[in-house]
Amino acid sequence: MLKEETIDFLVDVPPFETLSREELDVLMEDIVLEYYPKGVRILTQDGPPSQYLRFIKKGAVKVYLVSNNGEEIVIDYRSEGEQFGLVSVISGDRSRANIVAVEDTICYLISKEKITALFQSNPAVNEHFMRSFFINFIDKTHDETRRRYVGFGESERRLFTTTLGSIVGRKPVTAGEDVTIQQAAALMSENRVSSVILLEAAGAPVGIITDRDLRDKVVATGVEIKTPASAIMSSPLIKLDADGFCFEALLSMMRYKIHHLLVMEKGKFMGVVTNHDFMVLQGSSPTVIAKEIERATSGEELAALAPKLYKAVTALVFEGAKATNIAGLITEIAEKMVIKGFELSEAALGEPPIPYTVFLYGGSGRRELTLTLNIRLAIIHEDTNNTKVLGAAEQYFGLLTASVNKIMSKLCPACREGVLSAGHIKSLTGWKDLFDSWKHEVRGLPEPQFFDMRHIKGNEDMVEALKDHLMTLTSAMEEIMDLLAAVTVANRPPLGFFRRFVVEKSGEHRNEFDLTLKGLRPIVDAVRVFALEKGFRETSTIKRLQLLRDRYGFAYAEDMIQALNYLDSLLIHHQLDLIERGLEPDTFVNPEKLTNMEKNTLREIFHLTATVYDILEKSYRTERV
Amino acid sequence: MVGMLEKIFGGQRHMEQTPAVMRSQRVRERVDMNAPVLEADYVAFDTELTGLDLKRDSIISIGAIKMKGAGIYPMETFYSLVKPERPLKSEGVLVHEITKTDLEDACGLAGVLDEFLEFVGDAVLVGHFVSIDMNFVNNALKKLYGVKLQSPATDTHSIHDWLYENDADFARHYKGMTSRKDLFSMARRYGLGMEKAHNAFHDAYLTAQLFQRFLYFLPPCGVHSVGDLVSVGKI
Repeated sequence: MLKEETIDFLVDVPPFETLSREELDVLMEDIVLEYYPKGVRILTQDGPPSQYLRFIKKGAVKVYLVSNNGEEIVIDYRSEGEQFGLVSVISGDRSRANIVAVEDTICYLISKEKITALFQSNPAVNEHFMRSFFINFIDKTHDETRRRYVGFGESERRLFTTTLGSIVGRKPVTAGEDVTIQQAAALMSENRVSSVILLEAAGAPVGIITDRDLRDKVVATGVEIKTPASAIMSSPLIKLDADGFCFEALLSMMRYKIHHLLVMEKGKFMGVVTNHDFMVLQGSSPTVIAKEIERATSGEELAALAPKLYKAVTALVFEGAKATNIAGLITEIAEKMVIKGFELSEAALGEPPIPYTVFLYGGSGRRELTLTLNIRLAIIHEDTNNTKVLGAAEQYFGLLTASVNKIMSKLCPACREGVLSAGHIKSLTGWKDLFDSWKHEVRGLPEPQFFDMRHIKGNEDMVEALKDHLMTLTSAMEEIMDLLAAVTVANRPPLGFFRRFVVEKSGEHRNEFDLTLKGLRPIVDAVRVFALEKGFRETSTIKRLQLLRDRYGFAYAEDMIQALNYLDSLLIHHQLDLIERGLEPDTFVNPEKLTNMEKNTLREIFHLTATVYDILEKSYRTERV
Repeated sequence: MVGMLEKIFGGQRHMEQTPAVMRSQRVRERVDMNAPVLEADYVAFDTELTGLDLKRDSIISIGAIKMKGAGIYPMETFYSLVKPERPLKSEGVLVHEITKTDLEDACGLAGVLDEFLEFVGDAVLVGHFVSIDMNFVNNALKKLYGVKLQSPATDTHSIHDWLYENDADFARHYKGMTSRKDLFSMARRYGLGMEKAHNAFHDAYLTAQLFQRFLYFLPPCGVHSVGDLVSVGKI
């Protein structure tokens, strides 16, 4: 009688839509429907393990940890269609986190027996849950909501198909179990490794000492360094068979909260694997990408690195890196590609007739790029009165622009329109003139993005000199600040009456809104105005906010930092989702496709923006535009 | 024994008790009245009646669903139509969307009650204005076997009123109460979905969900055990 209702729910929950009717029937045999009023704690950290995997039918829960010093660390919010309790069900030893209903919540509960039986009989379902497990539990330290469809490509699948034996690296550093702490530490620094395995007389491993043991158990407690190392080793060791798959190792690492695992082959000690090995396995180490950019000899080769960048970003998302840090990494990689573009062009065009300096501005200047790689470039060249040199320079820069644009064009949609334009190549005086003209509004309104300029190539002093000029301008000219504030508040957050989202009415992005333009930009622009007011040279929005908070006690700083991380996270997840589906990354989000919690969070962020706009409108004459 | 009592006290002759009835009569020996309310077994149930007159009217159907603590078991349900002993007044029947043919094909009351008692087992009964349903069930049991239901029972309507009077948190949480105490007004008030046409089973399911919404508020107010619950949710 309630079967249809239950099935209707389950088939909407990935990956259950792939189950046959018979599999669903078995899965539902002992299903339970529970209700928790807001505030009820459903699972308790270190409490008994959950006997059920819970799927939220209605409402939302908060997943959080309480640290040793009593601090609450929010790991995640889960809402309709999402599940919780997986780790506890799989490990069967204890609950990993506190889970509290943040709204009146209704859950379907599937028993441990049914879910483990399904995992065994249906590898696809198993893989799906392991994947969400990685997304949600690998060292998560922040509280962004995660989307269900984080890019899960070939590289992650490798975790399920690669055996441990095939990735064990060089023979680990070992020592007899009778060495002292000091000897063990010396051995580690000699071999530049972060761990040493202690062996008993017969050669069997008995324990491990890691950097962390030295820090936590020796330095922090003042243990005598002549003490036998065995006194501080971690033991027993967690051993896995060389035939085991990498994901099992990751699972064990999470279960035991360790970073090193012993790999055994036919009962004999083979080597150690660390979580770093898994990153390398996925080909997603940012350092590897940086090296490959260095080696690239053409635009095609640079463009071919884009998938690796996507993988690296996916891996970072998996690891729970802060979204703003991920944006920093994306910018870093993009910047290296730009520099490479100039190097390749110069190699083809020869020496420039006049020295030039390259700077980034906008999101790239603030180190806030997402996967659309919306790079903004400009060139300052030295002043000269020599018309012959100027003529040669004009010709050279024309060719340089074409070459750099061609090289970068294959990288992303934003780059196709050209990263550099003729109008953005000027002498130092030319740039200063442009900026000076803003106060008269002769050549249009000020372009606030230029205030985020950052040098990447050539003479850094040129960029600093230009920046000095801008900073003097803002401190001397009230009008400029008014104009900047006016330009900012003209871009309203997309929230209409009845808390509805304002979306595009027509065109390619009908029913969507631009999360960068309407979500991130208002915050970035408002913070820039405050930062310039205080004379900060810092370009990163987060750092600007931290300074405003620390020096001036700016009350909204913390909320705005959270908001930026949330928006960046939403945007990056959205882009990875598009990439996974073979589409190009963009910044347009359809609010109807967001979960209720995501919608509510966005509404809160837009309200925050409106509050901050109020401050701007009270502080500046914004009605001028 | 029963036969001897009948001889002493007179009265009509009764059917021999089935194993389910016999078992159900000794339920008090097995139910743990000290069991925590959030862990006890419950069966939420409802009956559909031809009318409210105990003498003239009878049970048309019984619906029930099992619960453990605040958990509802959607796969452990009971719904059975009862073949009427007397011809039906047709107008009342339409409300329940049950046709005469449906009923004529159904089991007799004795068989349905037997299955129902089997389904209830050792659980605590939960109903909305449950005394009405209990009276009709008891009436039937008395006629058939000369016995009454022995299962502990609790009433969602009394629990609601008690919570509203005794627990400020409850009133705050649900932002006030409803003055209309019928099952549908309550269901609407507490946000329960009611898209389907109602019958005894769906009403039992609504009752179970109402009970779910109240249960978590009881232990903080001192209602810890099944015994406490039965006295708070008095019939």
